[in-house]
Amino acid sequence: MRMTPTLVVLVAALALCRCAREESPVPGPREAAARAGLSSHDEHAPHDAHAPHDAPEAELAALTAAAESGDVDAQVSLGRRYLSGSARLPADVGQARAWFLRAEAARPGSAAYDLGRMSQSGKGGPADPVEAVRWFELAASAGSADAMFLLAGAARSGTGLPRDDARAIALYQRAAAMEHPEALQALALAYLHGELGLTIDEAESRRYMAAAGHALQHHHR
Amino acid sequence: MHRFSLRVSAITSVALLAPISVTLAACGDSGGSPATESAGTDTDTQAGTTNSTTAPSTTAVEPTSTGTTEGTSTTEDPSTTGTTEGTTSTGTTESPTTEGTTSGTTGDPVTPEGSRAVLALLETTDLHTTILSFDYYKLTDDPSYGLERTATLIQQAREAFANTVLVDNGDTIQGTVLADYQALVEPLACADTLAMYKVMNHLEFDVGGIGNHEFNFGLPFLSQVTHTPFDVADLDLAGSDACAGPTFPQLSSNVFSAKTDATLFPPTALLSRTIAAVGPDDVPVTSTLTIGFVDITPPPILNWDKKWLDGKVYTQGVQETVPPLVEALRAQGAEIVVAIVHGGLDDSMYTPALENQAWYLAQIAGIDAMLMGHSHQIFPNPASKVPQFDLPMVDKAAGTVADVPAVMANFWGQHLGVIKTGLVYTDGRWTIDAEQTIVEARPIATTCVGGLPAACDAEQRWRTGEPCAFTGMCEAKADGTKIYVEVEPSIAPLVDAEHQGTVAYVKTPIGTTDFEMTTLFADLGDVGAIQIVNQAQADHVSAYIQANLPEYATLPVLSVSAPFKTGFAGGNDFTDVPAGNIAINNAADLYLYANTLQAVKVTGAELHDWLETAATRFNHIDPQVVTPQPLINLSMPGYNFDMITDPRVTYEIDVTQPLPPMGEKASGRIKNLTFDGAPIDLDAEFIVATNNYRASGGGQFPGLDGSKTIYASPDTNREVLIAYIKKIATLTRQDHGSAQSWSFTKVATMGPVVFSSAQNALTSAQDAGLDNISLVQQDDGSNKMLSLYAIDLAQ
Repeated sequence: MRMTPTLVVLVAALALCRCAREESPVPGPREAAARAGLSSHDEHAPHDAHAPHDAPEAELAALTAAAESGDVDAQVSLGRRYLSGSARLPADVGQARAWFLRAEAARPGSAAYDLGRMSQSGKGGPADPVEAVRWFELAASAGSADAMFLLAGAARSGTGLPRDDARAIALYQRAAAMEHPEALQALALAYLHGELGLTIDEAESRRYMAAAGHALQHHHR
Repeated sequence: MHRFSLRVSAITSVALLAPISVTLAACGDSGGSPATESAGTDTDTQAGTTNSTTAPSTTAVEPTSTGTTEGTSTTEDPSTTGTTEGTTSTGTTESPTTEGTTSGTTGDPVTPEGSRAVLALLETTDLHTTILSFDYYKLTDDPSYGLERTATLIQQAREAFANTVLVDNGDTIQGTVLADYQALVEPLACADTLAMYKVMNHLEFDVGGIGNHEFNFGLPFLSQVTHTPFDVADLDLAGSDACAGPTFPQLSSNVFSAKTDATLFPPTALLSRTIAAVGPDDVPVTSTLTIGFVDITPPPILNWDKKWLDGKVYTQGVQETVPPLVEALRAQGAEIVVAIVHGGLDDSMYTPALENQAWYLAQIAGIDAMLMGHSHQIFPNPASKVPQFDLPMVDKAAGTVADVPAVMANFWGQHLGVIKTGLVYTDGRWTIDAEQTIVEARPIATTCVGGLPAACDAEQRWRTGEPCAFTGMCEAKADGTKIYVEVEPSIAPLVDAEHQGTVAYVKTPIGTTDFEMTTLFADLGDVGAIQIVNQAQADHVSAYIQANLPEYATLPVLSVSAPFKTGFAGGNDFTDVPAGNIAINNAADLYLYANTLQAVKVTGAELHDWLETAATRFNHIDPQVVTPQPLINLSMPGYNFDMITDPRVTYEIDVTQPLPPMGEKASGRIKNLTFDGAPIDLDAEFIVATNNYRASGGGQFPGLDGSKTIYASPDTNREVLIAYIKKIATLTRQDHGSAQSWSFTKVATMGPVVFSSAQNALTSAQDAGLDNISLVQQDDGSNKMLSLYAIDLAQ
């Protein structure tokens, strides 16, 4: 779902009215996990695809204010802005990492996925696959289907942890259970070609691929 | 012609004895259509569907006792005045709720205290126009899904249970090419019934719920095919009332016209049904059971179908909507209330716009049973790993939510949901006996384990006790054998014209090609099946960027794609589009997977890394070895062999360089990567069109983890390809099949470098300009109809 602009507007609105924010407290890890689980693609960069449309100054200021005052969702949002960069807010991996760490400290699981990606691809420091795995594990425990998907990728390729096909399958299945389209596709492909220790099963492959296609409709339409 | 088996004859014979006034509210009632007299069902049925003779004992009426409901609603937040008003139904005034009941009981004895009955609520959900067990893209049968098989389970349930009610939970009219065919290609006429609804009428569904995909084709279409004249801004849909459509009521209590504050569909329905029961002395008894239904549609339709709904429609949630409706149903005599919710379970903080509201709905007082859908899961399912089924108050083994029996029947007709309720008659009414209530989701397919169908118990019975659909089918079958229920033969003939029309549509040429587009030698340099995909992707992305992302407008747009079929399953497992006409099924062959188009922004260095990972498709070749060396690294699947096919780009793959150690980044194989004739600038930025799977991390390409996407299209890659082929119309090898950006670094090898491909395919290689390929063995020994070929890397 394209939640980032809505989230940003919501955050801005909350920042401008503290009392409203207190009445609707920032959800705890479990709710965030459930939300993340059910709409896992909210964490997905595609929703940052709207950021390049350069939101007005006021909106960015409101986001920054909210982040500075401790709003965890705003902190993560701002971190992503710094990571991708735009004309209004040039990329700054140091700032990105700082905001992610702050969010993560305030609410474990809120930024672990983003920190994992930075570690994995060597943003703001040398690539550290082991640390990436640690972050993804935290995020996966908090219910992030996107993190489960990347962690499964690490497990199947033995990157940052010993290769473990069974663990990859289990992670894909957990993410698939949350309708994560790419995890569903990974399973479809694994059943088609007998990957990761699975027995070839064309019917299961078709079922997963159908589910992947359908999951994409839910997340993008 | 086989006539679909109707309900237990006892009921119909009883109904014929008593002069029951039959009133089936036509689905157009919500718009205030004229009286629905007992012949109402006939006016709605189409030739060939079952008429009302089998439904004389059914009375379905919307409970718009407006005095009660409006009174209740005014105590709510004024902004929710529309909540309980629902839509007026003249069906009510013509035949008040109790009429069917009283007439029904006129000739019947009073039900004795302590009588017992069994009622099975049957659920289908998320059928997505999957009527037949057929894949329209592959143009082959597929027994693993299809309402024509679920229908067999429905029939068996109707034979096994004394009393049944059949309910569909929405997402019914969109999903397959058949749906697109009837909505867009050969738009359905007002006088005709959608194929899906024809079948559902034939199956005598009692109630249908409205899901989210119902709105995908817009309000006018939905209004027409459901013959429900919505009163919304800027649209005149009054004529829908005269259209054909379902003979069962369709409900949605929480989607409102912004213009009138009325729900688009009736919010609730009341069914009074003659049921077969047994008295306390075990003597058979007939009685009447009144069931109320309320339906919830997922509120995020306002996002998903914003373009159709913005400004016309608004939604509410279960907490605002349902309690007064349940009260009203009870007041009108509902003994049981069934909630139909097109949603799953979510205990996130409640908001009226929450996508999945079943967890909250189950907690509303007065709900006796709940039918769920939308999230395409199977519930109950003790083995499920789905987090939503581990929420508090959810029992995924028993199938209850807050002690309310609940079922979710998967999608595409793969399961039939069954809530078998025990009923007991006390104090003048029927109530549910929780101890006699069992929930299960029955599959249309299962596997054999130890000579028994896995879906049934050791006695080959369903959990609810009736003989299982697969009884005897696993005898002498090996473990793992897949078995399927038979199709219900009366279904396919009903929709033969629509099915054939859809098949013809899929086979309709959308363009021509002067060359054979195959992946037979895609691993060796033939780009004939890849380039068109890249061209389509790049074209679409470029256009989008020019129109919407000016900050990237100066960056070059490249594209990558891979051969999806490279012979893994044998000689037929290749993409192969012959020269001549290209049709939609050919496009589906060219783009096999369910992907959406995405574009990423990468540097030249990141692009280099991307191609390095792709190059692990090949084994490490030692030029000094004299024995045959297999070229293809089979642990790296062909669908991950991303390649660029662009005249602006060239690069070599040096297979004499080693593969990376486990867990390390690939490097060293990509040589002389150039762009526009010069070595690629590693710091320059490029836009690369690809798909959601690759961009999100599928295939474990370095740096591709979802963070580089600058554009995520809602369009599938296949749709993009089809549109492009239609635009180009005439494909030629010259313009669409010969941009070989990559080649192997030339090296003389002491021994042959070999690979397998389809038999008798050498001319395809030659036609593609690959002169360095020769046949080694007609049969590669794999028993998969493959030959062994060699590539001369020195050429």
